[in-house]
Amino acid sequence: MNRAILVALLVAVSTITYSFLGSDDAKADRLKGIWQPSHGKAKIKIDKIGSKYYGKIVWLKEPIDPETKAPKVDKNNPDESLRSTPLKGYRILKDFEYTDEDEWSNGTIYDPENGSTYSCVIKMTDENTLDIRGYIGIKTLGRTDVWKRLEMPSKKKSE
Amino acid sequence: MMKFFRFYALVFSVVALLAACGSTEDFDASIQLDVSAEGPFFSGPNTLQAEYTVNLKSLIANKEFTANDIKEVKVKSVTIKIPEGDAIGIDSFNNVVVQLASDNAPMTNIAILNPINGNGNELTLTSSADAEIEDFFKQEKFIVLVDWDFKEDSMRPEMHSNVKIDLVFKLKQ
Amino acid sequence: MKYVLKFALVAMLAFYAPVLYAQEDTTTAEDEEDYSIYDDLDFADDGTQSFANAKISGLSPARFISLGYDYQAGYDLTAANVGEGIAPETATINSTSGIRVGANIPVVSRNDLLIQVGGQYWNLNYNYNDASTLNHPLHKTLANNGLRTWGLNSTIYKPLNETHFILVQLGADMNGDYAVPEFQSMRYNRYSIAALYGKRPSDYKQWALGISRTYRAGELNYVPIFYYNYTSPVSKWGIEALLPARGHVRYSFNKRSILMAGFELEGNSYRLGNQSTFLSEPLDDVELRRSEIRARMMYQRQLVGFVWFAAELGYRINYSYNVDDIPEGKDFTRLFGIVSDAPYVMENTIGNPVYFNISLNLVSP
Repeated sequence: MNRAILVALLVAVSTITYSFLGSDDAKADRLKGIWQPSHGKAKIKIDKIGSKYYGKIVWLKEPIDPETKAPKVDKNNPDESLRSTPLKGYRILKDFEYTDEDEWSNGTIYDPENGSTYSCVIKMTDENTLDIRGYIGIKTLGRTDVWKRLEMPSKKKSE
Repeated sequence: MMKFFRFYALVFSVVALLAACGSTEDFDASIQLDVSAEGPFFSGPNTLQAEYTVNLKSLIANKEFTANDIKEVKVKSVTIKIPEGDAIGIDSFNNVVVQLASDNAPMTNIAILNPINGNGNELTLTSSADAEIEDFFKQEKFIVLVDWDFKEDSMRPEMHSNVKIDLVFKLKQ
Repeated sequence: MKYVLKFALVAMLAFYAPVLYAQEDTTTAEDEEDYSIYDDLDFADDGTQSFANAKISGLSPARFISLGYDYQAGYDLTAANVGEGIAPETATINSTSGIRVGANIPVVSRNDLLIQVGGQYWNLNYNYNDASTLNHPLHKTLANNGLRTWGLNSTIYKPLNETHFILVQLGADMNGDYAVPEFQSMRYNRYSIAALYGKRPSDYKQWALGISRTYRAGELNYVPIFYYNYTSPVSKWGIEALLPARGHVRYSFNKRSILMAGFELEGNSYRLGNQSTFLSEPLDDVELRRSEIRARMMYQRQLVGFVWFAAELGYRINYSYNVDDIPEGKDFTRLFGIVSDAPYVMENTIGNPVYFNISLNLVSP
């Protein structure tokens, strides 16, 4: 009988632990996907590399720099040696960790328009909406942009 | 007169002590690894990556040091080679970007080449003058990412590249 | 029972296996990238709407916090006679200077609504050539007390759709020759408002038309306003204007170094006579309608990180330095003589010196 209790306990503990571990990963992974910032000038794909989340530019409304007539590059990077880095594929969200319920933090956001990197925290307000808050030192000194999730038209139709 | 000498002897020893505390020595080191990714590869940047395990003992010949001894690590040069016999050459790409990522250090862009000119299977990139990557060597491992910007779609099942990163370690003495 | 236990262990391992495996797989790779699919994506939410962004490309940076110092070189001020009791008097002011501190923090920051709230403190100290010989009450109060402003302001940006927006600016200022912390009665606060309706046709241009209740000309006025920001997509030039309050041509050496040339109309209505008995009947309820045009060159550059330095140099050209009788602080408008032609209590004459302003600013993301 004792064995039966032990077995039941083992199964229960493992199931609960598993569901916790599994659900945490799944919760964190909800950040993955394609997102559009409010300015609509770019689309950002967030992926996981190692244990952290990174977002790269996969689409630009204006991929060609009107000044140079060539594909846009990171011309405002404070590191002059990297100014020819192409913006397409550029990782502007870096090093995000799932730190709290619906919140990813400890990361940074880079603004290619002025070459500045800001501390950043991401809050998922619903499955398809992110509050991206870039700030300087303290969160009060910041600005929030709302990003919306994008998906394939076919995926929507099939739902 | 003795006082005068004593005073200057004291000043000199304090300065010497401070200088000794702050002094560092430069050492060259290099790491080399294969990065890879599974295909297909679509036109645009595609990421090849691999994990590098840090082993400070074998990094610098005849020099034993620990993570605490590292003051600064800078990138000297980055070279990428596509394996001999691979049908693809560097003329298949618009540009290439190399980055480091890890659990405990912020992702850092260490080298780029845009545009890629010429052909063959080996490239030397423009390395970052400002990148400070010592934090990557103060942990067990980190990830090396290579973004090849494909000119055209490629249906190949996988791709490999060999990355060689020459580094300068500034070690505390 | 043994089998049950075995089964349980196997089941447990099966449960854990993917988790254990996932933990070891620290080099999680990105999916392969088919960039051609990103052209035709839809919002996951059907109701999602895009809104016009509040900024355009290339604007000079907005300031979260600003610490500045303003200095005007010497000039003469002729304080006018008041009836027959107070004779006119010309005095030389060697310099006028003061600090200017401001903060502007976004409190609501959504795609469909932005609200910023800010505050500022300015002071103006009048350094007379020989303050001991002054007779005119205006000179006396300026020399002894100077002028200061404590203000609160708010900017509300409400985009209506992808291209159109409404912009509202509100301001409440306490201006006068008061001392801190005594201040002056709130009934002398001066309120301004501007409301605009505009369009943002591209990332390089936005414009709006509206109307404002303003004290920039010193006295209360209602004027049409025109907001226009433009950045050339192919050159380093641009324009930033909110006419008639300010208008500048911008040249960006790069994103961290910007030169601007243009003007700002700066002014307010200052309650006088708070601190002393210099101003008595008939000057016991008066306000100084100070307004000046600052024709200037401004250079701003990044120092380190988000800290920028700004320096401006120009001419401070007087527009108004008259004094009005405002009993109980109940203000009125002349509307350029259309509504009223009430005479001023004093019509003063003031010289136009060179001025400079330097500031350290924490700029916003």
